[in-house]
Amino acid sequence: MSEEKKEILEEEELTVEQSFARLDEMVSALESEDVSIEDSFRIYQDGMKLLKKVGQKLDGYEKKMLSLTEDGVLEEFE
Amino acid sequence: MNPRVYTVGQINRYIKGMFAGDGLLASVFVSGEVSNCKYHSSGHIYFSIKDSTGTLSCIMFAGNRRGLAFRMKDGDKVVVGGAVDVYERDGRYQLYAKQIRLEGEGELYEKFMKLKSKLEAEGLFDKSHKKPVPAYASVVGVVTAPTGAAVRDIQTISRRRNPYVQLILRPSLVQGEGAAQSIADGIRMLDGLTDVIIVGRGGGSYEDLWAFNEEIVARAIYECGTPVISAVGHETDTTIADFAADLRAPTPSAAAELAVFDCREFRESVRKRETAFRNSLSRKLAADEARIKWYQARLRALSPVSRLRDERRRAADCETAMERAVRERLAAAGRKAEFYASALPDRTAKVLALRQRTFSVLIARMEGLNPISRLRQGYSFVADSGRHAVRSVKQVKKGDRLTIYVTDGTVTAGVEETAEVETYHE
Repeated sequence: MSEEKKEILEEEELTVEQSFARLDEMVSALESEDVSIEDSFRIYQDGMKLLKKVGQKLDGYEKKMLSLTEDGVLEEFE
Repeated sequence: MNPRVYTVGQINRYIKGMFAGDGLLASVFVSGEVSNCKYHSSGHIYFSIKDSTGTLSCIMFAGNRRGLAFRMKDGDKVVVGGAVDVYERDGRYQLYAKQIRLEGEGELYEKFMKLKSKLEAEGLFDKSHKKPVPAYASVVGVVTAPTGAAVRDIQTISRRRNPYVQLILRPSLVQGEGAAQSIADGIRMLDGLTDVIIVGRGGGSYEDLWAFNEEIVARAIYECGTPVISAVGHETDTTIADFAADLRAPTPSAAAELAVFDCREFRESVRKRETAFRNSLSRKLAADEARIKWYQARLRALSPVSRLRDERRRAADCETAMERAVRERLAAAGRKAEFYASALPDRTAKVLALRQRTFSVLIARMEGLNPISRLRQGYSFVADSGRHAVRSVKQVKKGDRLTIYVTDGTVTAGVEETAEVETYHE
């Protein structure tokens, strides 16, 4: 199961919703008794990686509103 | 004969009954000019409509305000839809308004209804075609006028919720000549550049909002690959654009709320999952540790060493029990002896002492009789080869072998000569 997860992780570019859904799955997997301790560590690491990636959604740069001109040029609005 | 007399209440109720039974008055549209318009703090609107011939009292209850899409004022030419009924307390009839629109809207309204049915039949409003609005858009497009409340509201809300989201405005005309084309073009320009597009404008009259009821706008929205949120006027205004949009927001501010995710909530969401991860792993580890400990304990209990220890303990227990038993017996015997001892009379003790002494003497005497003790004093015992004690020279002759017994062993000797001593006699 963790194999499949890994693949999906490496597939890149999950949307934030998909990431959250995946993370929730991972948490329930971690909480499940059937998952071995080795898999747990792997899931945990994958989860932390994914969390980091999701966290980067907020890049920390405040944006100014841009205006798209008739010619398709972006310029600062105001 | 006196005429029959009725009370005021009876008459008013009777008249009310007449109105209620009238099919026309139950649902009627009346045109006129607004006068005495009062917005009451309760939300009700009291006003009259008049024409050259007369006046009709009207009231719109707060609960029906949905039917009024503009700020009504004296002088407005309006069409009021509702029911005419009697207000018994004042003994007058009035028009209870359910919807009010400006005169001239009638034609537009019909156009609206026709286009709506046409596009609806074409499937432009189909739910199956509606795209979900992304919950976490990074870039939000806005098609609206570069001046006015709408763009400011969107900007303000967006900045407050999440300053890291990029807004891209495509300035467009939102009313008057060419507005519909401008809006449609704006949507097409932003399509693909952004994660979601807000199309709209602030409040205005029915005519002001008309561009959003144009077919080209509806089609541009329908064909847009990017999810579109419509935000036209106030909550009470519904346009064709709203039907075509993937999501309808009641106002531009509300559209910004829907398009721009809250960065605090987002952070909280991430943090919550991070905590969940850490907690579930440490819980799991703790559970595994507990399980390991349990197995360890079990194994230890089953190991040969532990069995030995058990048996040893059992043996030790037996020993203790035996010891205790013996100790108890001894203690009991001791108690018995003490009892007898205390019971022995004095005289008996004396006899015992005497006997003891006699016994000692006897022992000493016996000691004296012990042949070995004689030897100890330097005597020895001489025996011939037949092991008879040699008492006389006559018993031996030269060459005989003798055995001499001393305290620690025997000496073998040979007889050299014998000499009789006559005088020695005991």
